[in-house]
Amino acid sequence: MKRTLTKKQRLFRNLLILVLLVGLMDFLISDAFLFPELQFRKEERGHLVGPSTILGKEEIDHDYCDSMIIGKTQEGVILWLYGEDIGRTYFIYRKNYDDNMIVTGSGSLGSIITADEVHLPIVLFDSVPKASRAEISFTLSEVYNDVYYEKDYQLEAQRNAQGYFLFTLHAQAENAWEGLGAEGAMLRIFANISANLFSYVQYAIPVEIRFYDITGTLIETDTVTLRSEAAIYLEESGVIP
Amino acid sequence: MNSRFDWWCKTAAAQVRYGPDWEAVYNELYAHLEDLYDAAIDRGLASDEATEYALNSMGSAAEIAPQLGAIHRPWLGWLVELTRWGIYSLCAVLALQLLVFLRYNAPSQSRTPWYYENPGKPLTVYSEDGTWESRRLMDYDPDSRDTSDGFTFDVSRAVMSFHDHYTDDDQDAYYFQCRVKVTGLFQWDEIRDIPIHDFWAVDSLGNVYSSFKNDAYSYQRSVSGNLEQTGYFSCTMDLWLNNFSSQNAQWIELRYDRDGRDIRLRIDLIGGEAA
Repeated sequence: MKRTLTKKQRLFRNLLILVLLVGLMDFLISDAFLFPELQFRKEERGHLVGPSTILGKEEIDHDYCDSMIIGKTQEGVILWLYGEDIGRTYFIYRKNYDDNMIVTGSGSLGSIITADEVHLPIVLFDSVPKASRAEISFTLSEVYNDVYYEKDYQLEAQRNAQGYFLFTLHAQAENAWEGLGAEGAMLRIFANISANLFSYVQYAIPVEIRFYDITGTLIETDTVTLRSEAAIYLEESGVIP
Repeated sequence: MNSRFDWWCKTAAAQVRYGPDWEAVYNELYAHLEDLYDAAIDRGLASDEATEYALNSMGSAAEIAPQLGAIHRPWLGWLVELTRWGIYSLCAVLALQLLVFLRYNAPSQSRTPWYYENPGKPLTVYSEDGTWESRRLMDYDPDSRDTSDGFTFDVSRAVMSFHDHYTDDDQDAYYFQCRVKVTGLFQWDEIRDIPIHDFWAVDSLGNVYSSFKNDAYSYQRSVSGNLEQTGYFSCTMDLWLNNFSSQNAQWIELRYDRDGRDIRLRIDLIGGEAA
């Protein structure tokens, strides 16, 4: 005799099937928009790093990415930038070399020179627990089309609830049709040092940091040099001074 | 179709607001009425009397209607419908994604470098201008495997060759190349991201070859590599050691040690076939 399921039984069966299908989707669909943290874990495994402790998820406005997950491992920090609209994903892993450490949210940024506006996220991991506000200042310089350019930057940020400082460097071209040009060239170097591309091993950008407590009193200053991991390694190996 | 039965069933089912349930209730009530009618006919009643008997036996349709409406709530029915269409939709998405996956992850063509050709046989290549030749000296049997993060790293080939430049002895050099296959079930996207530029190496003599990411700039001893082939659940990396100076070593070991990992792929340089 054919046994017919009641409506409740059919509902339960369908929900079970839906759960199984959603679980299967996790394997087949790499969708940062739907499951960003799951995709982040996949990226970690694919890069043989982590698993990190996820410190935070930020909304950013950078290249084609509008979100960023920040993680920290026993050895390094991870920035994973991803985009909901276009699906781009950039993965940056930096080792912890210094007590105060700056990581730029880089990416391919291939179009930064021709872009008319750029928002570059910069994350500061610090060892000054009493600091509630931080300022960073640095100078970028580059020879572009045989002309030397230089520009000073000063940014400030409040300490994030997750413990780090998140700065945003905003650059806008004077003429949209000309793009950022020289400034774009400088920012591309600044951004991609953290991505450990060996092409940037010759660059070392000192960044001054000033920490302020909750009353606005300056409590500590430091200068860290933004360099690629390759530069640090070669210096420690004695290959370069 | 008995019109009085039809009217009775429609009246009784009027408050069942979920369509499929309404139809099932209507059919069941009608079947009951037909059974009662048939039983009455079998006892010898006339058709009209049998119809009256069946309707009286079922009771008042107007009184039954609210009870049936209370039993057959529409929301449960719609929920079942919703989940059913949800399953159909997910299956469609998965089918599409599977097609995309099969298309996107189709195994790529693998280029076979000259030093991997003709395994176990002597192999020499010459330049067109006659200024150099490269000879494969040893074809090793690596038999080296390690696992990490659900991936399996398998060294499938390892060779040593010598580049002999006829007119410039400073360009003579030993080379070491190996091919590593990485497999990982259910990790197709991730296999593409294996950081081959973070592998480094050490030999039995203590020579260290830094990772490509660290030392591509200075051209000291380092490990370089390319992602040579990708496919479903696997990829193949071609690695080589720059400024190779381990000709007299007993083994070379590729290593990866980020975040507490300890991947070691030891390749014995004793044995193998002299090519």
